[in-house]
Amino acid sequence: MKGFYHLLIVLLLFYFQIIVQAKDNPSASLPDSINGWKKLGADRTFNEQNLYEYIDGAAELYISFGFSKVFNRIYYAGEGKEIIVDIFYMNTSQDAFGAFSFTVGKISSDFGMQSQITSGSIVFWKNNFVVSIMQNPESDDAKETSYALAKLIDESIKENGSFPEVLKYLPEENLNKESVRYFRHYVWLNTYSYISDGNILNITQNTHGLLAKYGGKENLIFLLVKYPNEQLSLAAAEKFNKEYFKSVRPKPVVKQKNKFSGTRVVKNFFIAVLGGSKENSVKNLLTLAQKSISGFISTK
Amino acid sequence: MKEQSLTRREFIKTGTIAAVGAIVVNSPLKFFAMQTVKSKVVLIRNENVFNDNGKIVAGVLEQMLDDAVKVLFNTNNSTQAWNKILKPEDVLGIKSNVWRNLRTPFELEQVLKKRAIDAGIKEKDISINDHGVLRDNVFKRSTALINTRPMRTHYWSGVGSLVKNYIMFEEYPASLHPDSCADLGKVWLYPIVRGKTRLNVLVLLTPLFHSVGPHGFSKDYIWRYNGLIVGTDPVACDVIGLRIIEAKRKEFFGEDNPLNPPAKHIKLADTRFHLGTADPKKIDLIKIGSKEGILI
Repeated sequence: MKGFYHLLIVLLLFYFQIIVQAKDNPSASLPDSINGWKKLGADRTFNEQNLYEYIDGAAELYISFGFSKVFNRIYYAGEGKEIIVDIFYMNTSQDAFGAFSFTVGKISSDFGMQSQITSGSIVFWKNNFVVSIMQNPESDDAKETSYALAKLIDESIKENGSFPEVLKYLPEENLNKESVRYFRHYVWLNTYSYISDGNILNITQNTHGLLAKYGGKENLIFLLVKYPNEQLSLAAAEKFNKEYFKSVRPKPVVKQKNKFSGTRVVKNFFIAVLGGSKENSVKNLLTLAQKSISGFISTK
Repeated sequence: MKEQSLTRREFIKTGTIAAVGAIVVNSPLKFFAMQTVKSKVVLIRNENVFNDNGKIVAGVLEQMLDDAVKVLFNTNNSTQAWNKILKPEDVLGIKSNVWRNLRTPFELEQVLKKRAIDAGIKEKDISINDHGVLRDNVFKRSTALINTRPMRTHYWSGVGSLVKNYIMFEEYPASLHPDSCADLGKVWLYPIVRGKTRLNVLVLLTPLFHSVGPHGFSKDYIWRYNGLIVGTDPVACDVIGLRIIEAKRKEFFGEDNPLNPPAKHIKLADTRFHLGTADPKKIDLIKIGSKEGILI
């Protein structure tokens, strides 16, 4: 009887492992051939140490977010026709969103949580995966097969995953949703406007950064960084003000080169609004963001 | 005789004039050089460089390169220019770029090789390479280099530039990635490279102005600029190329859409490694050929 229960437990564990693997391993959903396209050679995997050999400087983007491996398969249909499939196994769905947000232009929802389809390429993220399917060269046949592969991979990932928690603090009014960028490395600070060459806000892997554009009558750049505690946010604010505004205690809104910018600290959050043509616009967005953050903090 | 006493102002004025005069008399070339030295950069464009099938017309590309060097070296014909660039006794490495999505055109590589042979260099003393330069016997014993690559956006360095193109002379290229590739210029000081670059050709036939996806490439973000930027100063050439990329991004996105990370390695190649000038005021840009859509 004891033996029976042991066997049952082993079988259950084995079954559970298969389920988990199937759930967490979209590369397992890929067929060896599809629509006349055949797998070319052996699949390859890359890690942080050798991803550079595969995608050069783009590797740093994914490293800046954190991933465990990249799976690569090439499908071939003769005469130099290839479809290149890459699946990035990011550490979290927030990391997947973050990496995706920096590598796209126009966002759609054709696949996964968000996707982008350009000439010859499909990129999407879902749960902790970023998927890229690239045609080389582009053709109708390759496009059709790429779509089929994207669908297969999409359906094999059971969980959607979630956007970074910090996104909820973004004020909704006039937000350009496609402009939202999530980051945990300081190099991404300059995405919309030059801020600094260095780590002016003490960004680490334990901070959560957001950049977004706000429209309406203005073109404002909104920056938010969430720190583990208030001491760190205050220290970051002091450093930022010193280097960016050249003042330890700048005014709430500062004019530089005919543009208005301002910063605030709200508990363990640093927020900044940059590039406004009107002082009030900057002030208003800062206030909205402060209210948003305070509202969420007080409901905890 | 009446004594004349100098006021402090007169003393300073007289002394300054004397000092300047001494410099001009003793080092006239240096004095005037300080005022007038600029890096000459040639931007040449030809809308006929592609045929109707989108293939490069080798003859047009060849002529573009010849016209550019003629202007760059201020000679009567291109042969004289090439003879200034290369000598028969040279051992030449042509540092190309084979990034699969946008490589240095094969036609350009062959034109450069042909011109080297025309200049008297033996074919066995010419090599075209990218990733394998450190293991290439010609590059190892080279006396001259020609640096050529297409300009494109790059996720970590901002742009793939002429300065960046020498990264393959570093045994561990990833070691130059920190701080968004700030120290790429350092490679130009390595013994295998230092002082050897005779010509830089930045290819802007179909530049990439925006990166998408992990491979950073989509045809949606290249355009036919039909140009080459040619110069002896790689930094100055990169500055011009960068201006074009930034202008295209602004045109396409309808607003300022800065490169991120910014391509700071170009300016640092000037200020930190002194490889050339990143100061637009010190660049003498000569534009030849088509002006339509020139963007700068």
